[in-house]
Amino acid sequence: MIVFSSVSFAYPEKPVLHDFSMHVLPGEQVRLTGASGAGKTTVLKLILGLKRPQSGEIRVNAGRVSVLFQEDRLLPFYTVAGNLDLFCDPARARELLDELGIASAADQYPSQLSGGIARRAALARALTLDADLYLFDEPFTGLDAESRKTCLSVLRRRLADRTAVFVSHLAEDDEELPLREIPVR
Amino acid sequence: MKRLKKALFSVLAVVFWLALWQVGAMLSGAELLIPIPTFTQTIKAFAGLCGTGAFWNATLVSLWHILAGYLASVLLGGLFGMLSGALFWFKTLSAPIVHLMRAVPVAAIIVVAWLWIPSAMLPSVIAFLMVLPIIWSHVDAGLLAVDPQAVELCRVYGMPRREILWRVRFRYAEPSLRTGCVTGLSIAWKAGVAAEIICNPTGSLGSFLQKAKASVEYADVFAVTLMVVVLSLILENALKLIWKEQRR
Repeated sequence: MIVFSSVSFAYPEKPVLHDFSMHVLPGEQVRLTGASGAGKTTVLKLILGLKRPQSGEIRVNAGRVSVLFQEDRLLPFYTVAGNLDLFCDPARARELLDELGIASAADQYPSQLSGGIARRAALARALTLDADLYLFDEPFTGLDAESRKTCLSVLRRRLADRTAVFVSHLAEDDEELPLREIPVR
Repeated sequence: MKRLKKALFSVLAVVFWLALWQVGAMLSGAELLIPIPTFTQTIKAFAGLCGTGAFWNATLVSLWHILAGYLASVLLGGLFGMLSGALFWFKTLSAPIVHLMRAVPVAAIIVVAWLWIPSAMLPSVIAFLMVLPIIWSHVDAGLLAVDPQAVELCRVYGMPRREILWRVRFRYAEPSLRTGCVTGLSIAWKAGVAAEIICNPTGSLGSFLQKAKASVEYADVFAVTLMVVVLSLILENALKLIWKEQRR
């Protein structure tokens, strides 16, 4: 579904990817690992077509793509439910919020949310789409152990047989996301 | 309770200034050659004018003058503001014109425009010219407030362009646009009525003011001014209400 062949990419101030190759099969879930600044987020942006490589080839064979960016990117003028309703029907939105344990925050605005609830709201929004490919950039940032557990079980259930790419640099994710690892250097 | 207290203080502030006007006018009235009409005299004159068809006719004429100019400036200013926000060359090219329109005194624009434009049309044109740069710059500033990351997310999620424009870009730009529209409305009244006073188109509130001044009917001058203030306040609040209702 995703093929990177000898991809190189550099920001004006810093090169991040050099001769990077990877492949992700349909239905497979992988985790990009590597130190901060190694280029994991850049790989996601290249998959999304938000950046273009300086050299190499990228092939992405997916119709609809859903993404959880590193930033929550909740629209400040809509409630949590409103943010989800933009992309799916309200019943599905409520169901997702309920599963992630934040149903009580449905009518709150992003400015009223704690970091952990905002992250889960953004995660819920990423799951509203019935996508061919899911991308998650540091999905558990700011979550306590209990919330991480809840989110993981929702992800496992919702993403069964779906193609997904996770970005994570946290040590605890090694145990909780036992996926094929792709190191980014 | 807090809202009630705030509303009560607002009413008391108005009552205070009206009382000061009444007492001040009564005290100075005997000494001045042209006495200042008291609040009660103004209300009496206002009631008298409201009883005449000509005054209501003039009110409608002025309302038409100001609203026509204002609406035209909202439409065109909105369009130009969007173009400025989207196209760098358009923003750079139009910047001197916007600055010029903002800097030139309204009286100077009225006199210059009067050379080419008939009196009946001048108040609308002046209201249009004075409000245009306000709407233009507020739309431009509003578009600068749009979070590019939010737009990027909606694009990735497959939201159609038109929906992104309406549900995302417009919502970010809305506070600035709203301020521009409300500010522009009061400027439209000030500039439009000023044009009516100077060029004196028949059957308008401006010509009523001129006539009242010429016949030394100062209570009438204040009464006509009161009508302008009342209309401006009604329209301003109607605009705020429409905006509020539309967002529900």
